[in-house]
Amino acid sequence: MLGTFLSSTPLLKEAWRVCSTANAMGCGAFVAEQVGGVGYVAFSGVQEMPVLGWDPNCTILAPLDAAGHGLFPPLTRCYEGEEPFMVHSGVLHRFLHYHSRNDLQSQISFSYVSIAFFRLHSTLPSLSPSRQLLLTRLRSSLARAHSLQIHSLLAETKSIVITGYSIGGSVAFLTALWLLSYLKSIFPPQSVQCIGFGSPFIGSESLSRAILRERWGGSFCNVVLTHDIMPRLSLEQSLVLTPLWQTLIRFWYTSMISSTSMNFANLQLTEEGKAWLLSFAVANMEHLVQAGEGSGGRLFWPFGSYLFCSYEGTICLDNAVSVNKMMHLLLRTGSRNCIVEEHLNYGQYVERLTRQSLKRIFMEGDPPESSYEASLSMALNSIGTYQQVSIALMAKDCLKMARRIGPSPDQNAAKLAIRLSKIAPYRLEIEWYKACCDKSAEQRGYYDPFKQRGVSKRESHINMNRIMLAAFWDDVICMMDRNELPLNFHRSLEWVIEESQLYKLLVEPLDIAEYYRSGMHRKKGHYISNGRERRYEILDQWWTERVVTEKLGNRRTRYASSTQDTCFWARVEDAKEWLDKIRRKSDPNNLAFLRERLNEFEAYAMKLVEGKEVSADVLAKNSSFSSWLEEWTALNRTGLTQLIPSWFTQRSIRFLVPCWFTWGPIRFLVKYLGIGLQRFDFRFHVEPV
Amino acid sequence: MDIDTGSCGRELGIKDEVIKKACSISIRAHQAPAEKPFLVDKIRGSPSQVVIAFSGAWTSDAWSTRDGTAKAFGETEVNLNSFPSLRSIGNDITAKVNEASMNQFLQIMEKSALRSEMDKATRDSKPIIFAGHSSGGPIAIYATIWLLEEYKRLKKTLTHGPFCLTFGSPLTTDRIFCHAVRREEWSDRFVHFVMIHDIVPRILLAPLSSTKEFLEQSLPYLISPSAHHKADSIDKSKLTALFDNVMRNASCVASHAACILMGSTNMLLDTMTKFVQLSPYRPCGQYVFCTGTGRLVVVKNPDAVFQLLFYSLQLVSESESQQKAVASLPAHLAYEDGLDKNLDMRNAIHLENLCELPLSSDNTMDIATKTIVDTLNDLNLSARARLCLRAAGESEKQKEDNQKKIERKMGMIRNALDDLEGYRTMCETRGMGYFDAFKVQKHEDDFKANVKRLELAGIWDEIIEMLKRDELPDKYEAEKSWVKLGTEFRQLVEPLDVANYYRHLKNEDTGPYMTKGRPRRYKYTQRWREHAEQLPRGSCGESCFWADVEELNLAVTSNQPRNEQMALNVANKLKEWHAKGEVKKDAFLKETALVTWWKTLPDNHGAKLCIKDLIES
Repeated sequence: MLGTFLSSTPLLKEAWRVCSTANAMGCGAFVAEQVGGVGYVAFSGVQEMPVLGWDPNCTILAPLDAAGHGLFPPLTRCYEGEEPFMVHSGVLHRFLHYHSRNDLQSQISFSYVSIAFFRLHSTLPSLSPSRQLLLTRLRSSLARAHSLQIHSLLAETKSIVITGYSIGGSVAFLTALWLLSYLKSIFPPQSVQCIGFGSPFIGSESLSRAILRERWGGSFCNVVLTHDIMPRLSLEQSLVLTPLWQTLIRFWYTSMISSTSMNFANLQLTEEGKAWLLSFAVANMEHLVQAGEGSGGRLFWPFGSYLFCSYEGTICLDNAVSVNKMMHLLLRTGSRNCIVEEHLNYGQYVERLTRQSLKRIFMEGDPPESSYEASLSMALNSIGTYQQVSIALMAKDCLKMARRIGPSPDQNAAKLAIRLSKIAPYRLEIEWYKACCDKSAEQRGYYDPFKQRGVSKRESHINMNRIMLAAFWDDVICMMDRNELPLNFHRSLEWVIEESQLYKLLVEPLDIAEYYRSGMHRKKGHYISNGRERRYEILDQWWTERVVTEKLGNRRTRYASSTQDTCFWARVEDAKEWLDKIRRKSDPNNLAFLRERLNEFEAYAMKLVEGKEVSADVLAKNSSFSSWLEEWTALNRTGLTQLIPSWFTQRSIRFLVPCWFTWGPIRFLVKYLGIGLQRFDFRFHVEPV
Repeated sequence: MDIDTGSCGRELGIKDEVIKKACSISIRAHQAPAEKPFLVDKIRGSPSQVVIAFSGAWTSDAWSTRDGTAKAFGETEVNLNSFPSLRSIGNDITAKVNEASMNQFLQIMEKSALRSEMDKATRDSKPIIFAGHSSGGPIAIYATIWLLEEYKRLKKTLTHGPFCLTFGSPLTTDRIFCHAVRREEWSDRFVHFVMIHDIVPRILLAPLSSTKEFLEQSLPYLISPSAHHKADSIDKSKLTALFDNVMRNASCVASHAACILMGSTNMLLDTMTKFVQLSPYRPCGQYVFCTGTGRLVVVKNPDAVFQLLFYSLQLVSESESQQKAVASLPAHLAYEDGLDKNLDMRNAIHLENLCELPLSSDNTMDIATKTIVDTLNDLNLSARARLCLRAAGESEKQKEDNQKKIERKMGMIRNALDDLEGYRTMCETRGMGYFDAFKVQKHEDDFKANVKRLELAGIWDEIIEMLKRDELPDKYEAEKSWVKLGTEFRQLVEPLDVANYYRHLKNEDTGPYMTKGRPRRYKYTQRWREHAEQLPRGSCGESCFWADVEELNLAVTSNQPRNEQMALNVANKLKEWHAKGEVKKDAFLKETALVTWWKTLPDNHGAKLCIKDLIES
């Protein structure tokens, strides 16, 4: 059904039209146009040879961030146990080439510039006889393009289709990836669609997973003809360097540039050669199918959706394993004669598809009575495998696998409400525990009792709750990664945000406590950079991405019920360590640096305290923050202290702060005389305006 | 309404003769001069009925008031003052209609004698039948809704209520419109006749810009009866292009709807939807499809009707395109003849059990199935189309199952509410207000109440989530038992949510509860009640006045100027609610947040005086 929808939209047709314009413009060209509020950017299928991994020193799969340009920020960070995200080095090289080419003088982002091309384009005689001239003129006018105009264009087109034929499609995929990474920091709505026509593999399985994780899968679609070998190839040295391949690709290139004349006489490819190429593609797909999941960064792997087109219709698959299987199966029905022209048939098929959607699809024989079986056989019919007994059964299995079993994402999201309410009592108990700590006579706050807990029954119960909650949220995030939740569920479900924020504020301090308690910081390093669980980072992201209509300017009247910076305690632990180092004088060269860091931390902590962004437990008399503050001020105590009467620094005496007092002197007293903040009585103190 | 003996009209609730008469009047209405936009006719019988038939003006400004630039499909939100029911209650989305036809209706209401005609018929308790052919159809729909709203407002019974008959009317109402009409149980009062080869009912599925020329120039010329024989004078190639364009768009929206019906999980669907313009219009009411062989097929499921609108006109082969395009115009003009012949036949088929529709086209097992199979063949339905119809049926069934599922949870809600009620009385015996006791969270009971609160929140959030995703039957939000339970839940539990909110000072992170922090489960249930009892919007705030009290208290402690308006408002409302028994006396116990605030008021303050006796008693 989705295939029918896609083919009845004008999108495919327009994309192909722009693509063929780009193809006609020759090597390395690209075109940008605006059609009815949608911007189209197309890359020519004809690319310079180096794209095919010409350089033998290069491995085929290169890490995405190897370029070091920082172009894909969301895709550079790997979590524990993940392999780096790999892409085809040649294509990456091509992409970087494009990227730098358009980055000429200004730092204007490439895609919007290309949208700007639309304007420039229309002022020039379109497709003048000498295309090269046009390109150079475009380029020079680009340099002059005023950024204001570009911004107005940015406002004009909210959605961009990036497309490309053959290898151009691979470049388009990378461009779309880059654009998505770039847009992520600007506006959340994902309005980038990338359509490839018969594009070869480009990324590894780890990349495919990362794309799913970022929930970008819906932005990528590769249109694949049943017998086309190009999208089934891993462009490796063993293939690319062969003369057979080069003959074929040259032929393809010339045919692309002048799409009207397809002169097979120019193709010097023997029957054996064709057979070898076909068997190469079959072998490659067989290898992928057998490797299955878990290849990580070593093998190419499909991502996004694949739209399989046959003479009879289309089907759309998004499960990578079944995409691989289907590609393999379909290719097995191909013959060596079709490998040459099939790759050049896209225009014809796209044209056919758009007409086909209006027509009834002819089916031989009666469909089975059950809806499920009937839809399966209809899908088989659409890819033209219904008659081919040899693969029909396997193709059917493959389709069955592709169908998601289990509840729909929406149902999962609705069920989440119930699951949340079951898990909430655990959180409430922790909240209760925190209140008890705040009230207890020991005044050690919330963090320290948990960190230094003995064999207390209460703390171990809280620890259990902590683990249960972590399991729940990990599971939610796991469901998200597997696309089992709706795309924008964390934006549309207010209670998820609420609950997750409460969870994070309450439980992360305990996680930090556990981390330092078990000495993990000695093994793995600081919590913030090395030990923080991915769930907290994602929850952080949800919280900052939530729809905030206005910023509240008012100040807090009381200390917050939980410290707003959940990593606060990790920073305290760091500060404690630095202070220790200074006192032990273990590293005399570093002293100035450490002092600098400690000053920074102090400024940060005091800002939180003043803004009442911390919870009251932080300031409890015997909390580790209070003791750190005391030690730190003691260290800073100068000669000044001797002039001060001793009662001033005695702990038992409290200072009543008059109502006119400002923060400056208090800070001075705290910092240089080592008087704990808890010794000030703010009863009459009115906040300075 | 009186029922005739067996024929197509019986199930629809209208006699055959009435339908025929209405049809011929509707077609004649197009002849009428511009200053008389409708014809009135009486049909004798017991009771006699009044038919009011509209003609639509197909002038340029009528179909695209803003030249089609603002909205691709010329849609606009209805005015909720005139049509308060036309929205989804909880989600609070207003229904959309075609702006031009709505404006036309409003003008007719304003300038002509329509109103007095309606009043007259109502006075004589004669049922009115609104009718319209082609562009008159939408106006008949709006007139019917208008009168139904009037009945509802006056709380009259609907025995003599209006009916609406349209013939070849274009789609001008959106999904929410249909949802609202079904929720109010009005949908059986709308009967739309569609010749399957007629292009006009589908025409607004394509963007206005592409169909404007045809709608403005060719169609008015065609439907004015003097020009009937000139149907073939229209340029064939233009007509074919129009037909192709409309069908392509129809295919696009229909397959999009089918993807959703079949529960497609591919993320490509979401992304793609942002790149294409999809018509918002959906069918509303019952449809009677007239096939080429003169068979009548009645379909009630709106999703199925929508699929049928596309699939019944799907081409069998590509070469057929021009032929069908040319045939589509005479079909639009053939309603009178077609109905004259076919309404006598007693073979109207009701497509009801959609989930078990036979897929194959030559299954001759038994007679009952055979008629259905024949009907489907007459409707020109491929196996794929039948699958889509099945999916429409499944989706309806799924919604009903969902409702059954949550109805099983009613007991759980009840129990939890009872527990909280117990907690409330216990607080009272402790001498503390329910709200304040919870806010302090001192005893274990408070903790337990908090757990119960979250348990209930889970169940209700799930329901709200289903509503948001349109996974419950249309009539759910109007079901009395749920409105009642929702109100009870809101009155009992929302104070706890407010207390929790202010206890954790969430107002300092996110803002005041009422504007920033109020969960949907309370907003929705409040709207349910307001709709069910026809109360003004926002009048049922008896469950969340605590939030206002908290804000007022905060203003006092931070020495901000008092918000006099808000203070008076709260006091007046409290008095009202207390009189109705919606706010219990524990709110006025000593030491509650309310009383604390009250004490800060000067003695002569209006608000202080207003609830003085409540607090002192």
